Amino acid sequence: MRRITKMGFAAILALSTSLSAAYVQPIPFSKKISGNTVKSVNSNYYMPVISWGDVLFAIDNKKLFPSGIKLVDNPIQQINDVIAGKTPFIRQTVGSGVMIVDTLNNLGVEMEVFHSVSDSNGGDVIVSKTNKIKSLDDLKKMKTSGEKPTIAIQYGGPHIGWLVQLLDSVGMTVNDVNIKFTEELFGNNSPETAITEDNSIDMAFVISTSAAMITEGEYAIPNVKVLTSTKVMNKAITDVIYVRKDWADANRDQLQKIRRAYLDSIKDVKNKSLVNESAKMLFGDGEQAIADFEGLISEIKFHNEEASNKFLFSPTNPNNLTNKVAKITTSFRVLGLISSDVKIKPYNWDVAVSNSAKIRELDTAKTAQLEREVAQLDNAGQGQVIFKKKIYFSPNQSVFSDVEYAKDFEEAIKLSSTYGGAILKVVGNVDPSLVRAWSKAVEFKEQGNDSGLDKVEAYLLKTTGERQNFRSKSVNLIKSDYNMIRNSAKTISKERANSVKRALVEYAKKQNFDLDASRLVVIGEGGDSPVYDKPANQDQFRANIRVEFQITNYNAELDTFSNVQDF
Amino acid sequence: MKTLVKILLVFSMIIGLSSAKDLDPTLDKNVFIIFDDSGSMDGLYNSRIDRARKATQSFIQDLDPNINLGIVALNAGLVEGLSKIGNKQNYLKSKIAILNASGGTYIGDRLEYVNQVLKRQKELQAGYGEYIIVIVTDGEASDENKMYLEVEKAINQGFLIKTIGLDIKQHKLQKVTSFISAETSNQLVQEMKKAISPEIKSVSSFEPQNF
Repeated sequence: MRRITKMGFAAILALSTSLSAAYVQPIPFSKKISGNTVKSVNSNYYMPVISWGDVLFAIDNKKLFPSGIKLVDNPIQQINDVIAGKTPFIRQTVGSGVMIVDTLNNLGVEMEVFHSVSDSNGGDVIVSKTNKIKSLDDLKKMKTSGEKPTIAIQYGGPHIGWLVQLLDSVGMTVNDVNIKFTEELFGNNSPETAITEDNSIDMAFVISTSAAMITEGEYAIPNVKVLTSTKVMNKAITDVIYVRKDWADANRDQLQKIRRAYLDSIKDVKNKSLVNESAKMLFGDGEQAIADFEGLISEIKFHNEEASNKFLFSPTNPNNLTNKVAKITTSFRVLGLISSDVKIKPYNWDVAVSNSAKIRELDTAKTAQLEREVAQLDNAGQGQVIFKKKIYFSPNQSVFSDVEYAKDFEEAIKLSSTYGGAILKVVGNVDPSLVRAWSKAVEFKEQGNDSGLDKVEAYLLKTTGERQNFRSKSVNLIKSDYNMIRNSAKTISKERANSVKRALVEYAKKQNFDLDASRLVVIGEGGDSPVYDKPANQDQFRANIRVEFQITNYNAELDTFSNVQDF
Repeated sequence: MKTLVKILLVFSMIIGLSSAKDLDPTLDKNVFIIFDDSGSMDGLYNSRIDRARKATQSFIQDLDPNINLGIVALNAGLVEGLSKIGNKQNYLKSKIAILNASGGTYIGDRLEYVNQVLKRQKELQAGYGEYIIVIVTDGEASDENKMYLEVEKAINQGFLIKTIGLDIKQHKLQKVTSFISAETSNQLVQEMKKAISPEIKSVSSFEPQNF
């Protein structure tokens, strides 16, 4: 089962006298299947479902399958049934699907993805021990220092592809980490017991109910906090349905009907009778089961036709099926999870998909509203910066050529896509020297420190050519000029960040990358956030003059997006 | 035809090069004029109020239409809240034209109002932008204590205050704000323009600080 209720988890913890984290070896699924004689798909096939929200669509349309639907969470069982001809379908995430397709390909069975069902949107979480890893930046720093974090994750489970994407987003590969594979997703022998019991574990991939248990409340483990989730990395786990190509080609019309039926069923997600039946299938009887199912689907973004076609076919989508599989396959080979280079194609639906990149921007009023909202949340300490990337420029630079900054722009666009649920802040910073000097002038004046004032005056005379006569000015006059300098610094830094944002959007258009620019928020820090408060040399001086891309998570829903369609 | 295409291309390039400020309302400049229409501004020929009116009208005429401008008089009930000048120049000039000199010099009271308006505007602009208060006056405030209080508030909120003294060389505000003196309406216009366009130097290379 992919999901469990909070009560269920608590019960497991309460009843278990000793939860143990036993690890398993990463081997291809081919070493675990029971037979290798491939049979034709028989006419009494069934549709497999797993413990996920689309079970509702399957129930709604079970008449389309001669033998109805069956709950088969075990991927090995699904493989065995495809080989035996009991079903032409595999129902999995892209990641675990790669392992399955590797096994079937080796037996001469070709599988393609005929439909994408959904993206996980908060139901899956990565937790970490904060003494080692507080943010994704810390993970990156470990690579630089040569330290390898140890990660617990379910073998062959829904998170395995996500691991690869996470590492890729911080410039790491599976060679930069130690991985301990668990048998289960939750409960005993799972990543959450691993992080609880094994001191060597630094990070664990868990489901949301498990994350809530181990980070808050009575079962919370000290120093274990949420690092990120699929609310932020909202394209990380895509659920799809694979189909045997031989059967699909011979039954194209029927397959088309199935896809259409699944898409039509999206409007029925609140249908009480379907919800009740789905809850019963996954969680058993009772009100709690229904509540759990409703909780489950609240953390899923179902794909409508546009989203599914974009995932399967759009060449401008950095998170399309082909790109995802390519990244995952390379890493899975290294880990020994697959034995061949797996290539997975979408089934050929002859869909016309635009070759022009999709760029979304907010209008001026909404942009200003978003900036205000983000500023308020930041002031309340509610933004969590999970990743930073810096680009540097010269003191008076106002143009950002895509030739010079191509690599940085491409990385920012990919980060924005990978962390689609986050806000990408474009933060401008200018040299803080003048702001600091004037701040010191105010401080020295308030203290009555004439010698300090003279030093600042000498500095300003040398750098700006203007004598300030601080000794004869009142503190309010000096403060007023300080305000002017500070406001000017904030304005210049915001103008530069605006220029970078515009250059980034133009680059995405030119290079044909999809970009949800509505989630780009421009901020001008002025000289308020220097890397070096008092630069000691030219290098440190230049290091302060930068624009940072900051992937920032806000737990609260942003009002600006309340009526905005999914990207 | 080719010439027309070339002209259009050049025009579109110019549009494309428009500054980031033009497109970002949070970076708007906000200017508030506090106009002294107290009794001492009166006179027969080329009075202070005549010169102040003429200068302010000329100032408004030449202002960048994208600036947010507000004007309050100390007495006559003239309160034009902050808004984009746009094509409101003639309207604003007509409001200035009917101002007469009469009453006290309640600078503190007007500053209180201006502070509230600018504070709200700064929130709307997410903390960015410029906020400049220009006080045109010919005498000391009737509400001095309040004036000092409100000046302090303005400074603590990050606003700039410039005082232009008409026919006076000194004013108590010069202890706490930037003060300049003017006599003719031309001089007054020039000082008002300078007040809202402070020249800010920048540092383009490293220089160590020993403090």
